[in-house]
Amino acid sequence: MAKKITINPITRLEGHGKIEIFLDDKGNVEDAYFQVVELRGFERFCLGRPVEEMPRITPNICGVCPTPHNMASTKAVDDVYSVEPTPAAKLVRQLHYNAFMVEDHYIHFFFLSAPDFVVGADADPAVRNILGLIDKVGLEIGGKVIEVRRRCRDIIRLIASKPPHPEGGLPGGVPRGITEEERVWIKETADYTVDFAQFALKLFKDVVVADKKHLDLVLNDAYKLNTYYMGLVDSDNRVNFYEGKLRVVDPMGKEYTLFDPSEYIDHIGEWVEPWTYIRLTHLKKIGWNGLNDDAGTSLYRVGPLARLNAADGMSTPLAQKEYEAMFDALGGRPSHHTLAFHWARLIEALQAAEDMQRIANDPLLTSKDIRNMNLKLKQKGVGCVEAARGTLIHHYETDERGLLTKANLIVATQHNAAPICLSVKKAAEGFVKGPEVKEGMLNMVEMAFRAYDPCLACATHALPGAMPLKVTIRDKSGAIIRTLSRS
Amino acid sequence: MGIATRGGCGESCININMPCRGCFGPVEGVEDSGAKFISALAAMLDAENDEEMKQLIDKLDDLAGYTYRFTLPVSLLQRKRA
Repeated sequence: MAKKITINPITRLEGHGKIEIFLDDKGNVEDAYFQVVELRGFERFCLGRPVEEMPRITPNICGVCPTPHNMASTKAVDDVYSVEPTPAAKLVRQLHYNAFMVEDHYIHFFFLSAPDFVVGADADPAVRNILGLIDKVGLEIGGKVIEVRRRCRDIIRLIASKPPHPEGGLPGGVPRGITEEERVWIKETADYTVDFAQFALKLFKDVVVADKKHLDLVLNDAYKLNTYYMGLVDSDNRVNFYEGKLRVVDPMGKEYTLFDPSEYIDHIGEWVEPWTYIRLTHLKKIGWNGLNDDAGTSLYRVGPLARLNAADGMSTPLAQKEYEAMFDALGGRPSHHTLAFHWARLIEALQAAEDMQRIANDPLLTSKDIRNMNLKLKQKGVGCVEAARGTLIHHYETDERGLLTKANLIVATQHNAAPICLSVKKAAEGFVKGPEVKEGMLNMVEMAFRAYDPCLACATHALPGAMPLKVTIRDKSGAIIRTLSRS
Repeated sequence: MGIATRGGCGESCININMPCRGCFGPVEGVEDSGAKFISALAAMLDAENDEEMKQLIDKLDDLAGYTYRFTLPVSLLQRKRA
C-alpha cells in the first residue's frame, strides 16, 4: 500500500518546515517535497518608515542572520543616498562582518552539523547533538568552540551594540570608530581565531575526509546535485563576503554571467508554487524549468560551497591552500557534492579570520574619519552581501522625503529553496526504503538540507519557533499508520 | 530621552553613538508616551502663530511613527471610549 511520510517539523535548522515523502506501493520513494509553512511579511509593514531606519529594523527578521541583514540594509541605504563609506568606516564594517561570519559558521558546523559526522548519522538522537559531540571530542575542544564564538561576538558588541540585534549602520559610514586600545585586543582575537580555524579544518579532515565511510557519504550520488553556482567575487574573482560583483558559473564551472548586484532583477527570477511560501528563485534568462538538475536546469545554489565554486580562489593565503586541497580531494571544481558545503564553510571561516587579522593590523582602522556626510537622496538603492548561508540582497525605493515606498529582500534560503527540494528528493530516493522506515534513514534525508544551513525564518521573513521532530507515516488514504517522535 | 522613553538597557545604542529609539517602552507615570514626547517637542518650537507652527510640524516626517514607535499599542489613541 502506498504511504506518505511527513517529517514535521524538521530539526537543527532555523525556522519551520516539513518534509513530505510519498512512497509507492513497493515502499520506494515516489516523490518528496520540502515545504515551508510560515509567512511573515517585512516587505509590507516596513513601508512608510524612514529608509535610514531599515538597518535597525531588518535584523529583527531573525536572530540567525542579524548582521548580514544589518549590513545589506546599510549598504542599500548608502546606495539610496548615493554615498560611499570612508575607508576607515569600511574597515570597521568588514571587521564586524568577518567576526559574524566566523561565529555563525561555527555555530552551524559544531552545533548543527558536526553531530551527524562525529557522533554518527544513525546514532541515537539523544546523543546526536552538541552535548554528544563534546562528549566525543572532549571538554577542552568544546570550550574552545565557545571561546572563539564569545570573542567574535565581543567584537560585534563593541561595534554594533547587540550581537543578536546590531544597532549600528549609517549611510556613509559607522557610528563609532575603533581606539588603539581596542585594536590591540581585536588583534589578539583575530590571531586566536586564525589558529582555531586551522584546528577546525584539521578536525574535519581527520574525522570526515580520512574516514572512508564518511568520505563515501560525502561523495554519494544521493547527495549530489548538478546546478549553477552564485557568489560575490572581488575584481580578481576571489571570494568576498562584503562587496563585489555576483558571479554565476555553470554546472561545468565555466563563467555564465558576472553582474553588479543592482542588476539582480535582470538575472534572478522568482517562481511561485502553490505548496510553499518561498518564492523559488532561478536564472531568469534560462527561465523556470522545474525541479530538476538535468542539462536544461535553471537552478543555482548559493552558500559556502557555491561561493567557492563560483570563485577562482580565496582572498587570503591560508584559506587558498585549503581551497586547493578541498577541490583536489573532491575531484576538481566545481564540486556538486552537497555535504561538501560543510568543508567549504570551514575554509570560509579561515578566510574571515585571516581578513580580521589584516584589518586589525591596518593603522587606518583607528582613524576618526568614519563618516562621509555627502548624502544625496536618489530614492532607490540595492545592497548585497554574502550571508553565512548565501547571497543576501536588499532593494529599497523611497519617496522624496526618504520614506520607504518599496522593499524587496532576496535571502539565501530563497536562492537555495528549489535545490533543497531536489536534494531532499534525491536523498529520500537513496536512503528511505520501505516497508519499515527507520529514524536513521530520515536523519540521512535531513542531512541533505541541513548542509545548506537553511534559515526558513529569513526565507519567509518569519519567526522561528521550537523544533521537536515528529514523523508521521500515512497510507494512501491519509490514515496515520505509524508515528515517530523526537523531542 | 528621559521625558519620553525608559532606560534600563545599559544605554547600549547610545554607547555606540546611535540615537535612542525608546525600545524599552513608556516611562512610568506617563499615560501616553507619544503625547508626552510631542508636548516636550512643542515647548521647543519657536513659532509666533498657528501657521508658523504648522510649517514647523510639517518638517517632521512621519511624526506618529517617531513618537509612538514602540508604544502605540498602549497609547490613548488605541483605546475605545467608555
